[in-house]
Amino acid sequence: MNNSIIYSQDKGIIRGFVADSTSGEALPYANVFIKELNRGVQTDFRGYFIIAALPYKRLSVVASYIGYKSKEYFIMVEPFKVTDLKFFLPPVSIQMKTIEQVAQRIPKENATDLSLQKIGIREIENLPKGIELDIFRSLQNMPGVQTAGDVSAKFYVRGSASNENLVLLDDTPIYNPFHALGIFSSIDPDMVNSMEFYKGGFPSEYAGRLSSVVKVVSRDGNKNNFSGKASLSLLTAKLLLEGPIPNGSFILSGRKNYSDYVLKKFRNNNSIPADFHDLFFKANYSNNNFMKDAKWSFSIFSSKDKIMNNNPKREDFKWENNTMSLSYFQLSDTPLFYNVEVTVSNFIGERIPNSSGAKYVYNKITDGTMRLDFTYVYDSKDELSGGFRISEVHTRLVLENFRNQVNETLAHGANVSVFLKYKLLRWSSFGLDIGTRANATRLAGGGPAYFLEPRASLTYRFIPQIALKSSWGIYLQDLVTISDENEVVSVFEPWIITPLYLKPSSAIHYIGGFEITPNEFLTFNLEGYYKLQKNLAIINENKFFATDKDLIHGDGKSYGLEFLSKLTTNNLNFTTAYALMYSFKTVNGKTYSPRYDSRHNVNLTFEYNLGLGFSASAVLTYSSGLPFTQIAGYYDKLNVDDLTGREFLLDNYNPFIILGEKNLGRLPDYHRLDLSLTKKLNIGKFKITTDLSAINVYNRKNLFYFRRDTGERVNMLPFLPSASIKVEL
Amino acid sequence: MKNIFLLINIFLIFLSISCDDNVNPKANFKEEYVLNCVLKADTNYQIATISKSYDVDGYDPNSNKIDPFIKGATIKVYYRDSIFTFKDTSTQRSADSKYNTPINFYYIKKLKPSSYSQLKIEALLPNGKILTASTESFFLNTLYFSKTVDTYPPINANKIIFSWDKISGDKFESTIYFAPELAIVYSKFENGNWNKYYKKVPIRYLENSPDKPPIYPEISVGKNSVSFDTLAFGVALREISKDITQRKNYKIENALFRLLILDKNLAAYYSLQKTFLDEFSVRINQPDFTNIKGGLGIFGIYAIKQINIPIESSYILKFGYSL
Repeated sequence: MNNSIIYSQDKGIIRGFVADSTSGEALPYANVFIKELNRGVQTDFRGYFIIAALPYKRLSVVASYIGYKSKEYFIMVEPFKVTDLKFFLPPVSIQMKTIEQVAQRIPKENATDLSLQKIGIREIENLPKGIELDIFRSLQNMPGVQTAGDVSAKFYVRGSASNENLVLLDDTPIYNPFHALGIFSSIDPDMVNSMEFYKGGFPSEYAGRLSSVVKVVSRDGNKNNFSGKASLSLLTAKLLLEGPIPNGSFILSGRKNYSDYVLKKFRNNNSIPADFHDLFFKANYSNNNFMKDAKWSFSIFSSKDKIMNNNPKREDFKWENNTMSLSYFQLSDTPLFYNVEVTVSNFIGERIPNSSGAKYVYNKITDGTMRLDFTYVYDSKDELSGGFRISEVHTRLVLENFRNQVNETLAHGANVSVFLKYKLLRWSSFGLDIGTRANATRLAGGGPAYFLEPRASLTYRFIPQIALKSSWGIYLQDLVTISDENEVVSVFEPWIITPLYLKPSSAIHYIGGFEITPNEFLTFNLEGYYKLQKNLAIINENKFFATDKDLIHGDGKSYGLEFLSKLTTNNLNFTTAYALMYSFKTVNGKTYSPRYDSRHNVNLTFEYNLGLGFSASAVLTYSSGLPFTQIAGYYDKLNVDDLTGREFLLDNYNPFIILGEKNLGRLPDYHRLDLSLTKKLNIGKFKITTDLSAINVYNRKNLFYFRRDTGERVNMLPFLPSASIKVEL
Repeated sequence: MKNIFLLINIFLIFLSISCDDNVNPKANFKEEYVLNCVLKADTNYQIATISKSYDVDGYDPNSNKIDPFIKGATIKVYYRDSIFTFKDTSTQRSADSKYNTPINFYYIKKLKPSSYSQLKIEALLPNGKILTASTESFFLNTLYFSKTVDTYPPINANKIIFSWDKISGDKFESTIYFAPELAIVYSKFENGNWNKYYKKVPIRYLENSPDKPPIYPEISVGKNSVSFDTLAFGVALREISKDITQRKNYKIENALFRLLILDKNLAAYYSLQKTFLDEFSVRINQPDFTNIKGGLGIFGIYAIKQINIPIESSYILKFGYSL
């Protein structure tokens, strides 16, 4: 272990901000490196960095970021003083074949980032687009992330249900972030600055879910000039406006679908009368005359969906998400920064049966949260973080059951929690992140409850090229969806507070792995995980009467191995991902594989910069077959719906399927190749990006499900060419 | 050039694996036997059937034309220290049945399980397999109704309440389920005939939901009354024909309150008869219930009590319907 503690008498601090020179937009996860000390850090998701305990001398500080020209500043570090640095990096020309050299890896030496994927603004733009660039679909290319098929952007992480994923937009939870039937995510990639995706082992500042966290950070908007983007794909039309305001900036984006040409392909050419739009607005204000080193942000997000059949014999659907976030971020003259946020998130979903025979569902969840987080950077480079959070959640569920009985469930409660964590970063080859979250109450109430969620993550780089990483943690979830595991597609899943008669769901993650970086172009990651889940809320299939409980407890277990390699050169990105996964659930003493349990998963992603503004990408996906329950025969089932007939036992029978063991069958393997070609060009003041994509190039007939009553195969997406154009001013 | 050939080869490999995979939606056939015996508490004549599971080529079970109902079994019911043995017979099916053969069934003419007792059924199949089940009957004779209205609409009341007495022997109450139902009986003139229909009346509509869904009475245990909102009655009456100009083709006859009394097993089976699906949700599995040990089907007991409530002529005419 390299003992490189710097003592306080020599200390000086650099703090700063890295941004795009053309727009002023923050560049998260940029590398900031001090040459003389061979030491660096990564900017956080806001683009900020702090380097403490610096010796009193002249230093050269370099900021670098993929797709941007690096910048170097020479500074004089003074003891007991904070030196501010602002890097504005110019993007490289789109016409150049050679892009900026890959940034140094040194800042990641002791980063406790097991199972964490950080995706910056440039990487989002370069993601394979398919029909339309979709941030959730891009996650599915990572090992350990499984989808139930082309028809859903819902994702399952390391053998856990999709309702165990926390999706945050500017720290505000989005309860149903999907459009149409779940085919597309409702977060428009053009408004996204960066994403952090934890597949497990996430640290103490995140609460409320068992499996994973997707933290989406929106853009601030262009601080220098007014600009706009208009985009058109086969599915949606989009418009984005951004520009400076006094002491700040704003961004406004909207998206609306206009055609169901593409949607039809998801349902065997059957029309989906979907109508959806989303809207996002954010404004930032930062004025040193008003409050020194402070930044205020306000954002609102709204997504609305309707599926209106205009036919009284068919049901209609409506659902919407509305969020609001007000954030105050403050740097101080010491290596301390803190953040105060107030967020409100609201989801409303409704299924209107009309005269279709479908049943009525209405769900509303309102979540108001206030949180205060701080981080203090010690002279030793260690960090102390903490926070306080109070959430008030209201849920309402109106559900009509199959006997036409309508039940209304109202619940509300508050969760008060604190977290504290310490990051031991004083040794360059060793990092430890240890902390805990403590919950003072549970949402369902029922008197004081005290739940600790201790978590730890460590990295030990025993030689420069190889790091050993591991993490462990306990996680609780007190909000659940009424999810029927037997539904292949559900339009939306109603959320409720875990009722008092059930314990909150909990999980323990054990994760370990290696990061191998033989050279600056190549990275290998190998991770193994073991996850135990207890008290999962499962729909009670044996609920026959109103007095029976709606939910019962189940347990879960998943484990697997993941391999990820990334080759990144000036013109080429090649990613190989493989996962071996096992997932089980035990309900009422019976153990089975859940519907999203896929044994093998392979993703190959190839991106190549052809020069002259052209780039090409290819994504090959393979997934071994998902489980399903087979038919073991039929019997004539007595119908007792009308008991008034005298001899109903004699001729009142309907065929009924006898099912085999639950999920013992396997669907055929899934595989698909997508290609895309992108051309960027400048015409006058306009930047134009055109994209041609071909989905499922070799027209693989991937089976989605078969209808038990007819044996009809319902396949996923066929070969589908697609195009989009984006014009930026 | 080499790279291009390599890429073409890779692509051809993909093409070669792009053909359909065969998936077998069927597991090995599971032979099951199905015993159905639903006893009616207020008659002597009881029926039971036994059938077996089957498979078909393809996925349409209606294509099965081989009668699965079997004869030659011995069915015994044990009730109040007596053993009742069912007789084996058959009868013609209705004309629209998919089977051409008479249905085999079992009957007995002297079993009236109208007082409390443990009941057990045992069926010995021709192949030696035994199916068994048990339930509890209930005291039926002590049950009577009361109601807050003799003729609809009630005077100065916004609810109509039906109640029934608790069946004696309190300790067995947890095994008896009640499914109350109020319906408007009406006839519709169609093709030269008046055809009879029932319109179910909800107890109320959920006011603070955008779609105002109807709420119907629940199957319950231990409850001995149910109340219906008069507003809901009016809405149901209007819904019989939303087209006011067509209402003369409808005759409103009376209201009918019906109380279904069920043992716990039959109540569970009854409650699962309809599953719900919307067009876009694709639910794969339907729930099932059985209390037959060694097989499938249902052994239960039920009774029906009902009363008619006349509806005032002036009230019917106010809605535009015929008498």
